[in-house]
Amino acid sequence: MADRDGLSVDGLVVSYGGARAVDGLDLRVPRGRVTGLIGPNGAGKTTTFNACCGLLRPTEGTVRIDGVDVTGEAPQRRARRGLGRTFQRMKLIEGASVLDNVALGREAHLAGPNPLRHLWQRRQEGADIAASAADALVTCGISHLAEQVVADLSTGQRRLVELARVLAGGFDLLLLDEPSSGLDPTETATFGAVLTTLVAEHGVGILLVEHDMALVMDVCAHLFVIDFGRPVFDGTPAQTRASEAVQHAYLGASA
Amino acid sequence: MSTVLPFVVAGAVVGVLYGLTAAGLVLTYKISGIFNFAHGAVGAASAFAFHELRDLHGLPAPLAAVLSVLVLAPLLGVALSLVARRLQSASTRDRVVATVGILLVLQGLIQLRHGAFAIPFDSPFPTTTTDIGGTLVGADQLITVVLCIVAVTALTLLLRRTRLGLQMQAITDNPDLLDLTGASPARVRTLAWVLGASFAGLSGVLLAAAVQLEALLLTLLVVQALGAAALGRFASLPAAFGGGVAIGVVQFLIRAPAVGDLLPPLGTSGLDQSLPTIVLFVVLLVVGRRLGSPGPTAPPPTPSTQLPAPLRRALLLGGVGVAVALPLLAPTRAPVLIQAAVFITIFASLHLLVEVSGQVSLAHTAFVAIGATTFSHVTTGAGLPWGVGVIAAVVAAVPAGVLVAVPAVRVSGLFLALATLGFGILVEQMLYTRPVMFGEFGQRFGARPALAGLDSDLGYFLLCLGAAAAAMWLVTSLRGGRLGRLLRALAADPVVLAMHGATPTVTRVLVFSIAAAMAAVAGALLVGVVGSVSSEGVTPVALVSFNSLLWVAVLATTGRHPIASPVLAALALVVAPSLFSAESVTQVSVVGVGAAALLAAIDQGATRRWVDARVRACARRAGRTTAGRRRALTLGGRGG
Repeated sequence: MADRDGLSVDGLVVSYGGARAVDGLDLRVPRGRVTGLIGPNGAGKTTTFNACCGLLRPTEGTVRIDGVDVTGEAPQRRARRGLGRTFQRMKLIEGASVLDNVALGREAHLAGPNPLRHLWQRRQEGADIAASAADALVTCGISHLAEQVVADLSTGQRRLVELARVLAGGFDLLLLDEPSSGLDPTETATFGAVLTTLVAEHGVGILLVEHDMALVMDVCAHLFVIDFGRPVFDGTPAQTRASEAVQHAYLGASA
Repeated sequence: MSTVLPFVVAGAVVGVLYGLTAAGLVLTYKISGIFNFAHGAVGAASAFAFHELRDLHGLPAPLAAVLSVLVLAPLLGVALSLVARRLQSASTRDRVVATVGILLVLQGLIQLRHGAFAIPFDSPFPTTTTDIGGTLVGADQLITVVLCIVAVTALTLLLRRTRLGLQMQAITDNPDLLDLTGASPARVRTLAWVLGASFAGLSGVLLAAAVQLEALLLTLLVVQALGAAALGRFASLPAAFGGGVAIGVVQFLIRAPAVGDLLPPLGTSGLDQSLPTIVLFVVLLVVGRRLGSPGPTAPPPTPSTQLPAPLRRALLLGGVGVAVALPLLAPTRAPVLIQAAVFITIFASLHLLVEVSGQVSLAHTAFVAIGATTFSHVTTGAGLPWGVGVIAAVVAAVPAGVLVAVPAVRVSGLFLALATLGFGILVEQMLYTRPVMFGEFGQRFGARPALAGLDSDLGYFLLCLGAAAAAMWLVTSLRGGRLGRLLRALAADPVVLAMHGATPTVTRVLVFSIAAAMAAVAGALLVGVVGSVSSEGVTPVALVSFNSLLWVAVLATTGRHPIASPVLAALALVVAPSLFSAESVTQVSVVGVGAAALLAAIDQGATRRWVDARVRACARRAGRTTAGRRRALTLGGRGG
């Protein structure tokens, strides 16, 4: 089990010049549950994500995937270890259809580091891509949008497209950065159900950054609360709600 | 020491001019996000205007200076700012092509009026010399150095100490915020362009006086200044200026016999000339990733309106029929037609890079030249068969493609275009004259394949046409296959590929290698057109690095279709000028291509969208099915 314990972050420090955006953060993101990372705007949540997936090199600390130190690894290598993510500012191919965007998640995974696989797909891969994309579209409830061009969609729909793309990639560890912002209540409900399904049926581990507290309290099994890049609290949603430190740093402000 | 000092002085004079040019370049780039490839051309325009007014119309030098540097250059600056305004949300390709278009227009016009050769040009300053520490220093040299230092210092102070400077700084961070304060971003940007263009004008006149008045030399001043601008990380004026001085001094020091003797003999020839480019290349490699890339790299591609399938098939068949019949109809034009067929392959490979992958390559003449010379070495030189020569050309060009893709891995968009431009010029300056490429006589020979009549004009034409068809088929199938899909993702955002496990480096290196290989095959075929290939020439088809700009500009005007675009580009570049016998046809076509490219870049498909909308409306009226316009990538297509 030790080698399948998901994503773990120890003593993470990220400095921009003199400012410490993340300062001594520990995270445990095991498979099979949703872990929440919450905190006010500017607390360092997206910076933490970037350090986890390799978009920036932390000043101090280590990032491990299943016990393997990946702190110095390129993003694509971490992705091949099963770590996928979505972006708060979505990165979609605007001119392409929803289906093409979602299929890319699987296609890029199949291409990997091999030049020949970048040039041609193997015989059975076409069907694999089509099936993964179709599954992901169904899971996210956007099959009816498959042929639409992404640029024409609403923010909420675009969030679901990005989620579908990362699902099509077949990752078993997901970092989701504010995936429900811009979603309407129906879409949010769908989204919550998607997360529950992923965790329950596929054993995926999810680290969720989210401002919708109802959703967070509903789906997360464990919460990490940070403020000014520092850990404030971690515990179950019930413990978090009861914590005075959290009330003070975050929930108090919004309640 | 006294043997070195004169070189230091001469180097410092040229160096401050690089610095002055770089300062103007960095100013406009910083404030508008548009890299002005025409910066040197504006300088050339001012220098030639000065020459025209003073030497041909007898105006007093100060008046001529005011008119050329303080009137003409700022006017060009206003024009540039208008172009730049249209490019705010344009793709890298359009941003590059627009100012390259202006460069071509100015360069062509100057050459039309004054020819391509250096013109005697007296310094506007007194040339009396004084002895400073045993070295004779001209008053004009001193004045140039002082003038440049004063100008750059004044500009730096303007940016750092004045309200206008603050607004200019603010605009790079957040134009909307500046708008809220009541200052108009458009006005501030225009002012920056006017200032930048005036700097270009001043550097043009001064450089003409210090070196010589030659259109291409002054136009490519922008390339010389790139090294300096890179040392200032395309952001700092004083650092760019200092970088310029350093490059100038080192460049001339290498030429000093006392220093030159210390260098290995291989390192000296061409090294001094290439120094700014080498600096650019190294800086891009070292800090490239941190330079970032302003603006989107690729705009959302508009789904193309396809003609009905039967019509497409008819057009294709008709086109092939006409193409095959052409050499029979016009046997005297065979060389031009063969050349055009070869250029279809060249444009197909350029299309793969620029249109399919969204990466602008300004090094294509180098790829073609590497292919052509390798082919010649292997066939004429080593006596091996024709086919082996073609394979060797590909084998030689692929590493070059990989080498260019190395900066592509670290930088993106604009900086990649700059790195490729640097690579093309580096190959030309350091390798063209060496035995490994064209040798000291600048020419290599080679034959057509002696097989089944392929050495006749008709046979060779059909061979080249076949190669072109294969190239276009390759591009079309790559575009429609996995590589095409990965490249579209790469153009949108490389991070997306990486986040899903594909290595973006692999995609980039692949596409550059394939494009280089195709260009090399074209290079090998080019040798057989007239039996030789030259490192020099003034025609649009010559393998001089300047023509890389011209080729990209031509391709930018012929649309995005993987077959129509290369064919039209080859017709425009090769066949159209051959229909005219006037001496000035090359210059006229350079101006024409430049203007068309500029229009295409600032149009950004608006005209095509308009036409598409009309076509759709017509189709609707005719009650046609819309199935033909559906995107090619569907679930069904993927499965097969």
